[in-house]
Amino acid sequence: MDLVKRDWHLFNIKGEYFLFNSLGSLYQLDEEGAKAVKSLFDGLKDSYVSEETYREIEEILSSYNPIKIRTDENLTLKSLCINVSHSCNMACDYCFTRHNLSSNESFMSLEIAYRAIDLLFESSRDVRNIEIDFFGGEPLLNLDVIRKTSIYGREKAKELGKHLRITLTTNGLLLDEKVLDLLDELEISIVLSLDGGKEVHDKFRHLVNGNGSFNHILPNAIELARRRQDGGYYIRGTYTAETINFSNSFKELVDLGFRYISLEPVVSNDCKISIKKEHIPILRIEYEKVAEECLKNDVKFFHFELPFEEGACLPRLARGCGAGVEYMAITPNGDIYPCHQFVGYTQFRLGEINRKDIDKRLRGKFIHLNNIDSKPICKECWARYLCGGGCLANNFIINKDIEEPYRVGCEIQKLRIEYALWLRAKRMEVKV
Amino acid sequence: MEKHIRVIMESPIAKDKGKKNCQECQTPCRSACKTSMTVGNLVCEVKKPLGKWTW
Repeated sequence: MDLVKRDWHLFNIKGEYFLFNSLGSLYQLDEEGAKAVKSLFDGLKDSYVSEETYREIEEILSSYNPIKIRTDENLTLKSLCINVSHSCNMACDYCFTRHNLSSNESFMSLEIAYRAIDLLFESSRDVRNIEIDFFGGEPLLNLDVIRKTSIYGREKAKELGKHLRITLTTNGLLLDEKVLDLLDELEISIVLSLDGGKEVHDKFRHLVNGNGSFNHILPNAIELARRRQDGGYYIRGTYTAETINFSNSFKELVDLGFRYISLEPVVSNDCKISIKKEHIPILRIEYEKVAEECLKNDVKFFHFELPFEEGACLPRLARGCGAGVEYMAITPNGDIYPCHQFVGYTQFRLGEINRKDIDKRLRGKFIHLNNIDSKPICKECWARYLCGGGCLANNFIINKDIEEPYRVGCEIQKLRIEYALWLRAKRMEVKV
Repeated sequence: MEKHIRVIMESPIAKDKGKKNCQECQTPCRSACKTSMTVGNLVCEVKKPLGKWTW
């Protein structure tokens, strides 16, 4: 039988075999079943595998029918990253904004923030669920604009019958009780940057004076988690080649009482800290440890939280992150970029908020790349409907080309998906 | 006879043939990842409307 490799993925975790279909079906196999699948992949039947086993496997494999996906949708802007401050009260070594932003202090005016909200409401047309994310620099340095903009957005949403979700990404230094009271009142979800325990966190996340920031941030982070035990926050850390054993950081964060955690690989050209191909076997071990920890504890690791039955529909999964299409970023002076990571790379400047003139040619390129079938490598990958085609900004940072996949990122993504699937199987307590 | 393959999860999206996206779900690279986006995390607002929080 002709087994299409782009649609099937056989993998082994802790001695157990799993077969995943790109449309989301998951199977567990025994040793003989795995041998049968492997040999079908190779196009040569294994004489040690019985014909009965082949029949059983082929029955499953033949049940798969490729689906034609509709890609004729007229997509609208529905999510804005609002950089209310390009200033920061910290000086983290690996911060991507340090390399592409002006060193001048820069805060967004209330006028521009209101125009950003207006743009989102006008552009989102009849889409009801829309979102904004306050980002930086450190957004809490411009708290008054955050407060007034959130109130303005909430009132406008009520008036127009829309549902506005608001998120804020912060380093946590200014997140005292008074600020938390305000963010609770405004129902703003919070992403707080914390890399792990003191040693790991302080290695890269410094105050402006060069001292570590962990002791200043931890009490605020603990209070945040205490208030929001049912959600509404994520602890978001970065791991690097120098802090590659990130499962230890994960355990430290769990021990500190955090229940919603996301640890991400640094994306950098700095060879000292960048994640390279040779790190992948180490990362496999690290993700395995994190998955085991998630199984033991009631902890949510962002990349293992794949909703499956309650997840997005296939037409959505066949598209990418939406950068430059459904999602854009606004700088303090009102420049519009495809996403927060492109900010400062002026060749990707889409327009300016006061003029509302979006560069149609550039946006057209992002619309084209938002479709998984427009990416020759991605469309042949078994993980395409869970990945969506990777991060265009990462492609640019590493390869200087938004169309050239960041291959190490691909490998990390696949690892995470395998362990998310393993976790799913284990949580269902299904055994062959 | 002992089974060599067993279903853990049936495809939740195989039935989406010809379906059009209503665009009500979130954008993938929004907050908790921010540099490591993945569409697999998206929740369908029709199947499971999210509350006030982003996640």
